[in-house]
Amino acid sequence: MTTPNPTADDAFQRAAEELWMPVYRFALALTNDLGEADDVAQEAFVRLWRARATVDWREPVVGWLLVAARRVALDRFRRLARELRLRPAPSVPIGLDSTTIERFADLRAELACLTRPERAAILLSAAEGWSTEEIGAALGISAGAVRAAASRGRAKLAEAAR
Amino acid sequence: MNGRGRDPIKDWTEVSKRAAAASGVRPRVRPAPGHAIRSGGGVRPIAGWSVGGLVVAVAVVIAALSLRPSAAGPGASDAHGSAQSAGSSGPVASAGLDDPVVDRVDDGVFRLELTTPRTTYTPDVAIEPVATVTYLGPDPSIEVFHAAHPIGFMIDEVDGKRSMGGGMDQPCKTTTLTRGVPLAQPFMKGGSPDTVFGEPWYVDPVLRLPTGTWRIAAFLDVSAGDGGGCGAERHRLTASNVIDVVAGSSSPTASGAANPAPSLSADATVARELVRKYEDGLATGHEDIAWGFLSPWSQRDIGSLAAFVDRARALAQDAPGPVVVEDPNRDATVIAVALVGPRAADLAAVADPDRTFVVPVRRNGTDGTVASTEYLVVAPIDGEWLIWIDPAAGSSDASPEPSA
Repeated sequence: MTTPNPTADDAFQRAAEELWMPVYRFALALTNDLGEADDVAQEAFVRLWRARATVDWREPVVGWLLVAARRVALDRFRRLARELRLRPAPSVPIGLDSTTIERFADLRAELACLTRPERAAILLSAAEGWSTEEIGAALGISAGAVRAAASRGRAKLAEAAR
Repeated sequence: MNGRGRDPIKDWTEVSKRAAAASGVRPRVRPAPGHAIRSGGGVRPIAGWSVGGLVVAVAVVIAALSLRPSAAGPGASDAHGSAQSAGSSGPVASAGLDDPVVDRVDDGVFRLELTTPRTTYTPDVAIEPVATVTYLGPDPSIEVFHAAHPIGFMIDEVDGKRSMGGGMDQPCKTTTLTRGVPLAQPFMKGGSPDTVFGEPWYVDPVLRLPTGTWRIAAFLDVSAGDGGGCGAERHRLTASNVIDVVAGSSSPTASGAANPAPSLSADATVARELVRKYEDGLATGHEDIAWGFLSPWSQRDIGSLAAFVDRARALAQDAPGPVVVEDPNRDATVIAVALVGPRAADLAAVADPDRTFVVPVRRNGTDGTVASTEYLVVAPIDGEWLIWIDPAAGSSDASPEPSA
């Protein structure tokens, strides 16, 4: 039985409205899959909802959501990878236009040479303007490791573009 | 820029924006035809919904998750981890009925992680939580000051009064933590006997609990930094796992699946968990984390992180199927196979032979047959559990596992 808590409920809705984009992008960087990213981000918000009574809403919850998203992504990937080691057929969010899907299909292949930290380090810095410290906190690694990952990733992309 | 004149990073920024705008927080229950539940775009996940509507929708999701944990996908089952820390509070970790329960917290300087191998137990089954502390700071290593151990444990009954209060002797001892290298601490009992947990329970080193829902907490309490000694800056973190102990015997488990694993010793549990984390790191693209679990000898043998990444990918390519981490063992025949050559020499020189385990890792092909087996060796050096890789694995002269 869920007892509505107006304050926490309002705060959750604000978070859902304001933070979907960065959480989704983080999930997309980790999974490199539109459908997976959607599921991962959804699950992160479900967890926030479940924990809303204990969350300190005076503090930014984006970090909370990113850690949740990372854990969900790793859990999903670990199980999928362990069980199958083959990527499932890509799924996409409902309502996404075919041009965007096709563009992402190209990008997905292009970015597949990068590891998750490499993708996150490069893409979230560009798309969300996050610092290496912020990306490191989201990934659970040090800022130095983020810088190294970004450097490796850029080198790989440059190599692939030749 | 790529060969076609596009910048994939800019492209990704735009595509991800569109994809995020086309999605949003929503209930997982698919609507009946004609009942749109999502807005056409934007961050506004459920445009036009009232807070009450959102409450109902998410409650539906929660109910669905509770009733059908597997239907919600991996990681979506009942949350049994929880975290409180001085600096950061992480969200719960996911756990299925027989999945490990993991909780991790950090304050920027230290990370505390608590893992309990399963979510549901019966009263006769040993519960073997393991906590690790990892130094995250800027120095190569740090000396921490603490009571008898850096990490202690407490247990209390959720919605009940039974508890094991923890506590330990209070000498000011020191431990050196190497940056990025987890120091494992298996569960140990502490506290005062009472009518619920009497002296025989405390004397038994194996943790078993009566039926109920229990919160197992690991607490890190160390001092480090300027000033030295136990009066230096104090770091306190708590990570907790919630488990259920249900009536019945050890098999079948609550999920209906048989539990084939006999109870492992605390050391064996640490060894197994370390290898699982190592393999998780490889499977999830976190080779740098897996690298940190390797012994200095293994790191020297491989040469560099880049070479390690190449090695890991070669292994995964050769055996793209499921990876199975078997139980650690100290059987003489397995030891004889695994402990040969320079690896054995290094182990003999630096590790505690009585706490050395061989952990077979079977790597399978896509058809489920065993493609190869790597015999990892796990042992502590000065209390830090590390992995010695199999030098032959991942190289061209590695011999494939004979088919059964």
